[in-house]
Amino acid sequence: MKKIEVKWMTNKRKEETIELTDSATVQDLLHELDIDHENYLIVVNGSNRLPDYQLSDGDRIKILHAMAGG
Amino acid sequence: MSKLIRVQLGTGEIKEEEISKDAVLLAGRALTSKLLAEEVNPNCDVFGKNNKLVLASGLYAGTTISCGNRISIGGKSPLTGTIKESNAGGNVAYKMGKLGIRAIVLEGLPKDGSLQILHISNEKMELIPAEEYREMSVYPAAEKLRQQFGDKVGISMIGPTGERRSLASGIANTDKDGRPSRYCGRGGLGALMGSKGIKAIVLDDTNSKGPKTTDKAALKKIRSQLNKEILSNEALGRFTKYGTAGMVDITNNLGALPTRNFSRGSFDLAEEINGNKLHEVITQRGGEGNPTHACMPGCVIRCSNAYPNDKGKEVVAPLEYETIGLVGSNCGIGDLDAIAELNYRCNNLGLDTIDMGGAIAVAMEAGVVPFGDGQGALKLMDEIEENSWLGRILSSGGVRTGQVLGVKRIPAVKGQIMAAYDPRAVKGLGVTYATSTMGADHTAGQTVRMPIEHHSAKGQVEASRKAQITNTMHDCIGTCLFINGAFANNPEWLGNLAEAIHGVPCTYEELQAIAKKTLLLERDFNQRAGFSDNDDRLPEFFYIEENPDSKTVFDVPEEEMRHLFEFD
Repeated sequence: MKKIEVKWMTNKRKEETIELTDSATVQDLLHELDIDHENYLIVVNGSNRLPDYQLSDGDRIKILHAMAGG
Repeated sequence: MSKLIRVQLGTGEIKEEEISKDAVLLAGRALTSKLLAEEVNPNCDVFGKNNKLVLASGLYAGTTISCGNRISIGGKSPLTGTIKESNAGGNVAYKMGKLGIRAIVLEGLPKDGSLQILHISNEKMELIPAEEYREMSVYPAAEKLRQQFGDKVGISMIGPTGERRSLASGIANTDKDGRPSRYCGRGGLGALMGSKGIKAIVLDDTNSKGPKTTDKAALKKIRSQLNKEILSNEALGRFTKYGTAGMVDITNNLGALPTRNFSRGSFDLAEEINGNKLHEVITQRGGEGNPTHACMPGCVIRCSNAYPNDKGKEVVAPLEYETIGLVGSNCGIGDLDAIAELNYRCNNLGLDTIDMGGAIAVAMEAGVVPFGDGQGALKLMDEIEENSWLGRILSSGGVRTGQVLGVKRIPAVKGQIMAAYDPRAVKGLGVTYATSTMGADHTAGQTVRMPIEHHSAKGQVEASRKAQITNTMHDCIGTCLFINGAFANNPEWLGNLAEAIHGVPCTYEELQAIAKKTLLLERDFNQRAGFSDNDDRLPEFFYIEENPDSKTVFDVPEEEMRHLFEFD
């Protein structure tokens, strides 16, 4: 198992630690958190990552609402 | 049937031409760029008699289709020397649609350097002397124009910096409530309008019945379905609540928020200027403040806002992400009140906030005022207002200001300052900045919403290509880019709406083809003006100075970028 630090940058503004299997990807994290990739931007250690990205123990994740600019 | 109005300023002659049935789908940017490519010598003097200023409404103009009333304005750009199209919301295109006008072309130069107003109503078109408006700022001039021509007119106008032909000047358009704050800001088109001696174009649609929609039932049905899509779209709902300022958190966390003249990509005061803070300040202060506002008739997204001061009086409307990024974090200013005031001052003087944010930041880097000094930045706006030499330099935009002050780091392409995304951290936008026919311009091909790893060089040329085609397509239809998501499941509606209005067959594929053709036409204009692939580059520092927050440089291979415009 690996531990992932998750910080919600959405209205929730909360922090939590999620435990995932060793082979877990961003997609598994999305599933665990019950959110979809279409509406959220997943930033892993400062870089946004796509669903197939393999997570590592101790990764720091920020979850943001996806938006376009002005 | 739509018409094209030609105003020959040398003679004062105003002529009408009918838009032929086979050209009816050419609107917005497709039309401004086609007219410029066919009628303007790419090597002409930008302020000479052979340059033209073209205003074009879109395919849905005059209807209340959400986001469907953008106004496109084009010319050979005084700022970049390239072909230019800059578009904005507001009510000008709506009025043009009601009046049955597809385009207005300003040609030639006034003989005596006079300042005039072009007034168009259902009954007449006339040039009216406007000496009493000379050097008048945008908001008081708009107020005076409404007193002269009535409250319900649509206005495209310039401020004193446009009259002075300052290269960072834009063209202000009224919003649906009459505020002259929807800017075709980019590329110095205000200076081009100033060179034509036109202070304002005033459109009065009283008793106008256009557009004569062919299939009203189909239009009503699709519009209703589209509105449902918008209202059920979670991402668009966030635009309604936070406006475009919701982007601050995303770019700040990606290291892409321009900070202290693009020296880094995260700002320690980002939480003071983000969408949450903006929403909180507006709602807590109340009064004339409004967190959600529609800039054009029929808009369901309502991403605009009105920002109040601590007494509840409106300071500026709207306050948007690009301005917050360029005038705020890029100048080290983490104070929404100061940013709002700077935004108002730019609007009132007739200036593009993006290029001015770039100009103030390079002036800060040169030590004219310190980074983070909001009051100091406002004093720089005083210089422009007083028309001092420093003011003249600043209002020439970020590139000229940086060059005069000997600044090494000038974040621009083809003379135009970048929008509020560091190209090292959103690399697809870096590709767009480098290759766009418009110079560094985020709306030319926005990739930040695309499913791609923004710090990686991989796939960015393809992402930018797709975005440039899609964004150009919306510019050619006259729709706000933000509505794109609402068409995701039903792209054919884009063509169906045009078909219902104009009675000619129109498919999504045809709209895409028009966009591609427009891009290639613009490339050809720029090549004839002397630009080449060698101009499709970012400033060197983006390739060699690591952005300390994204820990990246711009590394998309140039060879790959050179194939961007090889369309199917």
